[in-house]
Amino acid sequence: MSRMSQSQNNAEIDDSMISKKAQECVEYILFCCLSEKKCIIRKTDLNKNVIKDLSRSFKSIFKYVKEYLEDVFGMEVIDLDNEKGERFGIRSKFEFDSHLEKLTENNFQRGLSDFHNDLANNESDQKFSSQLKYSMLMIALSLIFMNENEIDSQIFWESLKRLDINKEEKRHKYLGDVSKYFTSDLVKEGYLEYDQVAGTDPPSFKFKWGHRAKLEISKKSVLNFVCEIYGGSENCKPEEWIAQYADAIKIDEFNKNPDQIEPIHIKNESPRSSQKSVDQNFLNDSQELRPSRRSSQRIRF
Amino acid sequence: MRDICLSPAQQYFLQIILNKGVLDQINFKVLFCNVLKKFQIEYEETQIKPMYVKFLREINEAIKHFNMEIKAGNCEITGLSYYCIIRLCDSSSIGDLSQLYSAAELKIFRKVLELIVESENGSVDYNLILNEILSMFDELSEEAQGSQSQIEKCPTNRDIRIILEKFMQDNWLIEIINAPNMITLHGRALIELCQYIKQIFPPEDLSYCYLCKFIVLNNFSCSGCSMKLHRYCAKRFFKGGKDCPSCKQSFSKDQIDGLLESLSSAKNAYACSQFSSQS
Repeated sequence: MSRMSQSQNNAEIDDSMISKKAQECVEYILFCCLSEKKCIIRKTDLNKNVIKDLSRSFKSIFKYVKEYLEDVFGMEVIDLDNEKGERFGIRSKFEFDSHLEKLTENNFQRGLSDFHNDLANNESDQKFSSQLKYSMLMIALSLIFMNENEIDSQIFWESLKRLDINKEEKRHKYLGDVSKYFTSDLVKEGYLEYDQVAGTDPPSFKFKWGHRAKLEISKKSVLNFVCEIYGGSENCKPEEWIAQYADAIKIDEFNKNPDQIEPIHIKNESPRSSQKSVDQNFLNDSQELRPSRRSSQRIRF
Repeated sequence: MRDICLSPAQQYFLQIILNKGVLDQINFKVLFCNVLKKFQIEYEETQIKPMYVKFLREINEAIKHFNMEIKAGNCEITGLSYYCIIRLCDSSSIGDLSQLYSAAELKIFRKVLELIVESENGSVDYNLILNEILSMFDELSEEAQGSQSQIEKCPTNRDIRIILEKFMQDNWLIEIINAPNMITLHGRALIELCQYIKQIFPPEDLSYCYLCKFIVLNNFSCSGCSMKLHRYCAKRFFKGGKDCPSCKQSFSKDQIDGLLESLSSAKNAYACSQFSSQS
């Protein structure tokens, strides 16, 4: 109790200190957390390395951090553990733009000119390795999604076998230990869930989308990806997968406005998740977040 | 404090540069125009420079609160500008690197940095680097054997090449475009590691440009006195004068033409390599 009144007395001092700490947190997040491959921001890391003795104000500091990341860097903080507030990730609030992406990717060889030819079949090509890992993630997510959001591990491994990826392979050229990659690495990163099916003996396991995948990757984009594999827009349209399409529309809407729609089963009844916004996103295929409010206010250019 | 905010176009641009770490002049302009188009901001080709100057100034104004800055620098070989985002802290920039690279990789990078800084013209032959690194690891393993401590694994030629290429991919090192196998520091490294280089090397190993006072590696020097210039500084200077700014001795026409020629050919070669990759 006394702590409360104390902090109220020092409200002004605290506020500038808190925003200062928040700025240091932003710097830490952008340069330290993001340079690690997993891109996970941990509350304990922030407290230990940046906030230190102000850690009891974590909540108010983090509120500033979120504002700064959004207003200055155009990024959003997402909670990776379902409101537990321990691990966070960030995502851009801008839609992925394949045109600009092509301009920025520098795929020309920046190595020693004498070894260029050699490089073509060289495992040193790190860029390819990380790309392949993302492709594998996308394939895994597609498999799960197309099997109505969970897949028996047996079927999962058999499907991957067709891509010449074997569960038993311990030293895959890019993935390393294949089994560990899917059942442990991606699970730790929050992209997949790997659980035992209750009451099975011998135990059988199933894969599901992890919480992070739900936040970072839209089901619509996964569905589009699957359609592309099936032969592009002429042979396979997303709408043809009726169940998945309905699912994609519903879930994506939930992800876009998690603070507006409460639990997932509220469809259109909630007064705040208006029918209009559903239609709008449906037509525009837009992944941008709450676009109108933002763009009208802050263009200074 | 709370009204630090940027327009969506600036946010988007900031994300790109955070992701890339560094942009060269050519890509910078292409991206800038495309970002403007994306956010439906009208512009005229001729007005582009004052626009991005203002654009960058506003970004820097906002991100300085987070100890960051977008800085411009020049490549010593091609004279092209680079833009990169750096942290404005007192500690050395190699601290950032340690997040991204392993201890062995950093050890190798430090050795390469040493060789480049101590070299005559700021570039080192690949084979020389290879030999130096191998002998460095030999010495280390000998020491380790003597003291019974952990024996470090000596990298093979191939390991070293892979590590060097990793640093090239990440824009720290670059092969001189029209001199195969000669390796020098990339524009990004010069911007980001400037402080660090000043800290770890004795002052007599470093030379500074007579005109802009920044560290110069690949220099253009006067034969009469020990004055050194950046090649791109020299190019700008020769538009006005022909005499050495320090000892007033005249440079010969051959010297000047040679400099201009090598700069522009390097620039063209670089531009070609960029465009061929994008098509």
